[in-house]
Amino acid sequence: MTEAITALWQRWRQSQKQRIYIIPSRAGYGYVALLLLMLLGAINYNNSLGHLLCFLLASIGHVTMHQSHTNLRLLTLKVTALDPVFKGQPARFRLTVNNHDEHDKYQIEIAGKKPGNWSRWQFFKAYEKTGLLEHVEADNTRSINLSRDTHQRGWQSIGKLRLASLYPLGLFYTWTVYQQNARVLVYPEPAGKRPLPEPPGSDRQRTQREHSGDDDFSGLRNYREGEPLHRVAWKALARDEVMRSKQFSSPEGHQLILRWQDLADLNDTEARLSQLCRWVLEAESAGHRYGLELPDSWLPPSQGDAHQHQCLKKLALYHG
Amino acid sequence: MARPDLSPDHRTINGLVAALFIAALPHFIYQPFWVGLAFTMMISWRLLHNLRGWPLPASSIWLRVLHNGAAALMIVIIFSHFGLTIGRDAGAALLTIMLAFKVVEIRSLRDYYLTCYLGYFLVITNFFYTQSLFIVVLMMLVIVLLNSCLISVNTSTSAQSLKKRLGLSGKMVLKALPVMLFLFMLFPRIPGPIWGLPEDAGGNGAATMSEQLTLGEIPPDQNRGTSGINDEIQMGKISQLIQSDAIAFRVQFEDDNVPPNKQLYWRGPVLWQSDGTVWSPLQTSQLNEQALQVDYQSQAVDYTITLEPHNKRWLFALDFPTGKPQGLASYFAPDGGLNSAEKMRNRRQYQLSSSTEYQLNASGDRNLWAALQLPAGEHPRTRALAESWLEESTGQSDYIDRALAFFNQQDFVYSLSPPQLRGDIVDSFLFETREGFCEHYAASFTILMRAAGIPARIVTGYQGGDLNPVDNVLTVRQRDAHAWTEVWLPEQGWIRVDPTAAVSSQRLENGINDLLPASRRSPGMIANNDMLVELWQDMKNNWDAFNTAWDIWVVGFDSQIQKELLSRLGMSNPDWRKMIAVLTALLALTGIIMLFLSFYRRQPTEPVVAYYQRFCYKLARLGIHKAAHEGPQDFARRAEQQLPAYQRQIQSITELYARLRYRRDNSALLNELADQIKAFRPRR
Repeated sequence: MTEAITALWQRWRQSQKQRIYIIPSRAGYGYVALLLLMLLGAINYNNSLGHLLCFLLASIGHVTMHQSHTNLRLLTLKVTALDPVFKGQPARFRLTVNNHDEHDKYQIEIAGKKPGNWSRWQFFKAYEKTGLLEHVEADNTRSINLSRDTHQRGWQSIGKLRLASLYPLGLFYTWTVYQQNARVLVYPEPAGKRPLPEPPGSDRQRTQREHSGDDDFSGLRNYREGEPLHRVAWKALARDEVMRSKQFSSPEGHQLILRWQDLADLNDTEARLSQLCRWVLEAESAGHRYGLELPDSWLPPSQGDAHQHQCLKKLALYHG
Repeated sequence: MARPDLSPDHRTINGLVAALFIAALPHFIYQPFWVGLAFTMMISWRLLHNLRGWPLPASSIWLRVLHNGAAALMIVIIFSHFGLTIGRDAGAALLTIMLAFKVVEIRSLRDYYLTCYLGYFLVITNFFYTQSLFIVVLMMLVIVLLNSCLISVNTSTSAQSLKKRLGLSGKMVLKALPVMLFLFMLFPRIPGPIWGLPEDAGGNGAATMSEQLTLGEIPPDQNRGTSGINDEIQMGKISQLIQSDAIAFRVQFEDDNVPPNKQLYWRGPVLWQSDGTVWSPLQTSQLNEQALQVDYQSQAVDYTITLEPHNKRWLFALDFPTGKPQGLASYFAPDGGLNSAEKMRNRRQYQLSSSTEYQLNASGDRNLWAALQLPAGEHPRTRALAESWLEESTGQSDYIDRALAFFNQQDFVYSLSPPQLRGDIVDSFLFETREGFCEHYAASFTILMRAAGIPARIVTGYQGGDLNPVDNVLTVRQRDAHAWTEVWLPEQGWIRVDPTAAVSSQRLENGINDLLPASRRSPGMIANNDMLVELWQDMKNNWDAFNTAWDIWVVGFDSQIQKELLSRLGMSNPDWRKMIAVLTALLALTGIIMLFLSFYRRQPTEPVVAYYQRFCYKLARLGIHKAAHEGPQDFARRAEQQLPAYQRQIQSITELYARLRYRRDNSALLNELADQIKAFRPRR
């Protein structure tokens, strides 16, 4: 007996960790008006069963309040950030809701906080709906993907998530807010029409490079994390089970350095970063070895997805 | 809050239509036929749209005109039928019809909610007509359905099936019962009405006694076919009343001290004047004021009467009450009738005490003049008979005895369906038909008395009642309606003389029940089998007792009974402040308990474990307890040592258990485990 009470107490303490807010919805206020009208009628006609009905409905309202509250309690959230995106593309997160309660949860609306400064009382305006969980079974988890619009480069955090529900009768609006730290890197938006900068060296060299390109196989070296898979020497791998990547000869002069200073005539930082971003993408897809030079840092020429990511990350996090 | 205001899908609307149809069903009976017709047509339109894709009013202007026009027409019909004051009937008709029109044009979630709420309101209007247990059960069903409708628009059908939604809704109603009960008992009742009640408020369609007594031809029914004590007690009327099993009032005697049936005269209105056919009372203003002088000669009995509403002022009391009732403002008329200060529009309770032997106004009465008046020129043969008796008789008592002997010895018959009387009513009754009901005997006896100069008057009311052995409540029904005579004799005052007793002593010894045909007492099919009839009576008594409790404690629950109940439960001098305080405390407590109970977790037990626990229990009864640290195999070994005779069974069960529990073997073995454990009956 005492054990059972202790267990109840523990679970109650557990549920107190997350604050749950509850207010009557518009339909809830309508319900109250209905009850008052009914009570008036019952009193006027001295109708005992009228009273009884009115009290039953009031009591059902009370039960609904408990159930609304129950519908959001004992939930824990886990958010994982998915791949980086370019500015303007939606940032995607994976939300996993874990229900530690013995009650199933239904119809939970998930909303993310909109950017900007919102006062404490603007519960509703400050959030916009990003997802809906129709059902989370007792002692079970459910996952959904959430996406948030990106408006600036850099780290985009999922920020505050509001879980809200009108379940079961729509008379009460219940919500609870979770602060989450998962963040997605947002690269600058690729933009700008400038052609890739000339590699250092003569026009002839450049033409030659274009002809021979990267197709001149020069040898193998051990595969490093981040190198594109299409460069893996699969035949060699099959032979001795050592992962190697094919190296192509590129004359020194075929290296590009993407420089911040080259865009001095663009005085807008974001426009410069957008152009650099575009160059990085073009250089990578063209198979060049490229380096990045920013006022506060630089990356030596290289190529591959990992290098591209390093470059884009530098651009995303650049503080001018 | 900011949810999209989308139209609910067809299935949720169909559910709502079903709930509303059940809620409106009783109104098809109370209301004129066109209410039901309009309701059915409108919801059919909606259903045809949902199921067959018929167009809704929103889809074309002509349908919109048709819909709105029909709605306007219905309003006109309602007003022309019920008049301009919106009373109970008109209000209910309006609500029923408009609800159906609204159903056709549900387009948004907001419409859906509004319709649901109106549905809840439709439920309460049913209670303004009848508060029987059956209707309550039906309306509970409607509440469950309406709640599940609200659930269905707040969840997705894929996540919660209809069955689950109905289950949840039912569970919510059950969870709501404790708080409902607290509110019902402790919410301070305000005695209504708050505003004026329309005329149809109190009429529950039941029969009541009337104020006049009409002999002979029954005038066209002025009371919409309701039987009972009405504005007029007519001679023909009482025999109509007897057709009604409706309850007039219930009596609970203190200490179950019930007087014998022949003393149970429940005094109602007194009738003084007659035009030869109709007997009617005298207004209080026409009577001389006087204080009643009553000399009580027997032990008083205390009792509580629960009177059904009859929309009149009079109250019934066992002849003759020792004082005014408690718990009800009332006064005695100069003729001994007890009247309430206001019309009885609701079921009311009052406590009285009466002494069945008494002398009333023995030293004189200021209204004897009215008790001697005869309608001029009427009843010549009766008067002649009275004169002949007067010459022969030695005194007033002798004269009265002569009259009673006349009823007793001549071929008078007590009949529940006397033939129609024509011409001079009293004459033709006394000398021709000689078949009559109590009112015929009372009226003709009164005429005979007055013709001989003996002051006489008719008292109407009820006689007898059914005592339910289950709860010892005496139920007086409309069929117990009765009329008798009071004569005034010097030194003795008003004496009750019941001429009906001279004709049919049975009526008074056993009550009206024995005179009714057997079919009125039990269903015809079983009427010939005494045992079944007895069983039927038994069930009926229990059911009646339950209904009595329901009527008094639930339906009749008002501020007065509330106070009584609360003081019985130990609250001294209950007033609204105390009630609110206790109510608040109880609500808070319930809230906390509900919260904690919602954290309760059932221990999930797999069937295998449950079976094994049963096995352990069987061994534990023989003193072989499984220790917490002990594995099944060790335990089995120990048990085998103590119960060698059962070695094989124990081994087999343990092996099965281990296979099912730890190796997750074929679950078909589960049944075998269950069987083996069931067959395992160890003895030392």
